[in-house]
Amino acid sequence: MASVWVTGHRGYLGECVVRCAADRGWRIVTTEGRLQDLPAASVVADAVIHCAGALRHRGDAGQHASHVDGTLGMLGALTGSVPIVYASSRSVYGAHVGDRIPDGAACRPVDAYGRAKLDAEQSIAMSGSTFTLLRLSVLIGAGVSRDGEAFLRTALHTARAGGAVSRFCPDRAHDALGVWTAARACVAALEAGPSCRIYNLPGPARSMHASLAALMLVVPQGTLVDSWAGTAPIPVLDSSDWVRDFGAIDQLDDMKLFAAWVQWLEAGGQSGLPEVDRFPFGRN
Amino acid sequence: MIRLLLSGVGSLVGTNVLESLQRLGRDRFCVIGINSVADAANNFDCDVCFLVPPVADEAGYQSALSAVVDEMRPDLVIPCRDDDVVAVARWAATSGVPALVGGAAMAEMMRDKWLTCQWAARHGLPFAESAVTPEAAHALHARWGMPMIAKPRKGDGSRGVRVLTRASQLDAVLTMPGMVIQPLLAPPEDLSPWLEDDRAGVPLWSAPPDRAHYSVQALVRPDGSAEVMAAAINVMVCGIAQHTRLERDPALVAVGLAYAQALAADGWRGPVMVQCRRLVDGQYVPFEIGGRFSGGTGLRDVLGVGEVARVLSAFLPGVVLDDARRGELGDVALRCPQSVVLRAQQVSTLQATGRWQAFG
Repeated sequence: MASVWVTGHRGYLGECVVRCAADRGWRIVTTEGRLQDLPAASVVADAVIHCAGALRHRGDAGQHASHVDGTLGMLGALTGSVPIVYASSRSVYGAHVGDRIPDGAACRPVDAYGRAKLDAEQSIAMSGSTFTLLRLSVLIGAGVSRDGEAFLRTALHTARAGGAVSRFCPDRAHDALGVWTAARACVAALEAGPSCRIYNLPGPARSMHASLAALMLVVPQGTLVDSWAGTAPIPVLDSSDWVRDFGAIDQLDDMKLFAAWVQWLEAGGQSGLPEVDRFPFGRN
Repeated sequence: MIRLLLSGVGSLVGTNVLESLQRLGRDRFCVIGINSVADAANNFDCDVCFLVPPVADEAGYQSALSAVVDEMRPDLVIPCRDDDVVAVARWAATSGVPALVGGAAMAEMMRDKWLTCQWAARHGLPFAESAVTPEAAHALHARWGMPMIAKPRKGDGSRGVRVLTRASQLDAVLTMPGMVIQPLLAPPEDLSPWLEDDRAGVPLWSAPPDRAHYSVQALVRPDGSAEVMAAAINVMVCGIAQHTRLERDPALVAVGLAYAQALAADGWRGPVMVQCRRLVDGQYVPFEIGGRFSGGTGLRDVLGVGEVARVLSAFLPGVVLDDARRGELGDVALRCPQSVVLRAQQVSTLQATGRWQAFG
């Protein structure tokens, strides 16, 4: 792999992908501005890891512009057909019944973000390029210069401010995925050669209560409040295809994660920290 | 004018290609049809049609095809049925005339469902479990249960295909030569009443309900690159898509593209169609593939897909057939019966002289 275009290279995941791809010795290609504003056939690269697309937009129009128009802009800006790894989202599955969502389960997105991600997936799948779609779970942890938008991040910030974190439902599995784990997965998928596959990529399924308890040990100024409302469990992504092709996703150590996160925030949240969730991906 | 030769022009696929050419502007094309059946309506939608031996008479067919090509000089040969695909692939290997085919071995593989199963396994592609021996068929039965489906290995148009609901039927089918047995993947919920409701006799005309037939139409370009042109979910009646809606699931597209790329790597060029079932866990499992357009090409065309235009643009240097209708049409395409007029003189001319030509 001589060069890889990392879209969204200034974003939460993209920054980590750039680091991981550079570690492989690949030349990183980046572009500035909106992808849909790029001139046609203006980017030369041997492959793409497509991380662009923000969560912050509201409504279908905003999400569509960010994810679908951006993806179409990326495809149009490429010179020729090259392998693409797309960092998509579990949101494409939407409302699902049952405990687990298998790879390739029916997609019924229920929000603008999920609909836009699915449309973007479709654009890539129909582009004629070879692709791998990674349906990522919620990303967590300290990235290069920012952290994510996950519930656990909000809980950590709340706890650090001395606030109360509600355990709003009975204990259940959650599968937050370390951002560095996701970044390495993108690189591993590209290195393996995209093969028209869709992988669920969850974090290790852990107990939500256990994670919050771990948080309180690391950030003792916070408090836990039980406020159960009978919420139905969120189905966990089934990662059997990924495990078969790339090996197991190791357990994330909550305590180390939160400790590193706090350390990172106290250092200003702008510099890379020891990557506590750096797990090796060995291809089977 | 673009000169196209359609082998097996009288077939359902021939109808679909002709429909697409009509929408692209029929006067842009000179359509040369060849067919072994004189009274097929499509023959007389061609500019010129030739009566040729059936493809089973390989030497006769190839000789006739060569003679037609020598006279008519088509820009591209388009085989319509699976048998035509094999015959044209064999012929094209030595003729040097552009045709929508790859190697003959690949064409043979796609026509034979057992060979397809083995080929897919070698490429790590999903495909319906298949069996051709009694031992393997019974093992399949033990794993999947009933219903199962028995198909001629080299059949087309659903001819000779049987739905099996009892072990005794499986035993009976296994005495028939050249059959391949598969589980009936994702059988429709209302299949059982259809199969078992014979208390008041068997309906004279009937077909099993099939409302979840998934298909992908892909293209392997001359340079070996592949793309998916359309994915769809179809309602099938008697093996013919009657109702088609474009399907957006990238998982379905992924399966189709993986097939197209594997076929490209093994030398196939031209259209590729992949038919799938969807299992309860969401996985799409192909059960048949083909190196041609399909019986849904016309339906997808009215939805704005433009498969024929894209294939012709890819295979005919300098030809650009922009399909301005892309994406501006409706959501569902329905196939409706159509009445056509055949004059006895047309058929008799073709039968008597082996050639019919439109004038004016």
